[in-house]
Amino acid sequence: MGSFLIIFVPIAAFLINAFLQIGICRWTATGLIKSIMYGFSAGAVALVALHLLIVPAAVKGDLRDTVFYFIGNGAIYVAAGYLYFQVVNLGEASIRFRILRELRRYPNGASQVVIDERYNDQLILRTRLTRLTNNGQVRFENGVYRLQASTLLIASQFLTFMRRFLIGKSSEFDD
Amino acid sequence: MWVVVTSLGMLCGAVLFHWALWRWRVPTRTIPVLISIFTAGLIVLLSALAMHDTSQFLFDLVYATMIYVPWAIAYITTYTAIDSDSPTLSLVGEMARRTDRSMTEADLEAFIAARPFVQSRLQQLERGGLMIRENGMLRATGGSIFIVNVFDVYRRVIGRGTHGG
Repeated sequence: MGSFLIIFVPIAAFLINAFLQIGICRWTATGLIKSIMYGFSAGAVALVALHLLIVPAAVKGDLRDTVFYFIGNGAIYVAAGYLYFQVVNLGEASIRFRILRELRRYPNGASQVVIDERYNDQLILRTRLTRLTNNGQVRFENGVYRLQASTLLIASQFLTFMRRFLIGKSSEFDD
Repeated sequence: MWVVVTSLGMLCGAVLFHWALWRWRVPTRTIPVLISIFTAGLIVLLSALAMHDTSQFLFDLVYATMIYVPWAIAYITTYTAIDSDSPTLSLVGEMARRTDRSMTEADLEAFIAARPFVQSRLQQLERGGLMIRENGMLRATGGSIFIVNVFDVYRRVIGRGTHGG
């Protein structure tokens, strides 16, 4: 029974993360990404506190087990938090989801022309460019879009590297 | 200690196997193969735990699964960003590659023309069985509509619209 209390720690931390994120997003003017960061941070604090409260007693004071279960609980919490972020982001930015939402309006089907009128490559990229401009990662000056310091650049370069390493292309649109 | 080290070790093993297989030959259907690799890893992990003599066998199984499965899912879903470009990251990467890190409107139009995101995603939806193409008409399947509706419930809970994209 004592061992199963260890499992409670990352589950409780994740629930704190999720409920706080939902509350912040719904009842404050905080943006979605910030709400996810705040929720994750609060859950991480809860994870440490709950771990220190529960696990040493559950493992009868064994320091090695306390440390390794902290690594395990941390791994579970980080993975769950990351998956939660992905789920949230799917609804927010996924092209496939947006296409399916458009098709949902047409139970009998729609032609690609109709879909293109409502959702197309121009709209996709212009929306992203507007977001980047609004959060200061891109600046529009004298008719030119210029990249400022961007945390997304690290992600972009990493993915390009992994794409080249794994499938030998830098873009899905490369021949 | 044993259960944590074994779980993380098996995850690393599955990732390394993935990398080795892809360097040898990229399969046509990448996601099903990835799912198979990580499922096999989970079976090996649970079998190893079953053979390890312990008084808390059930706890070890549950705890190992809780470590392994979320990370496996996280890895596979992150891999989809390798199969399919992110428009935002593509845009940022393209700007960074240019000498003055900038794009004109003409550059942007050319960039957009070279990246048919909607067409690519329509093909993926069709291949994945989430959309049907019949007599030139596109229709979402019942299953895909259900998934979107579930996500939209969450978006309503957090007070955001059901637009997205």
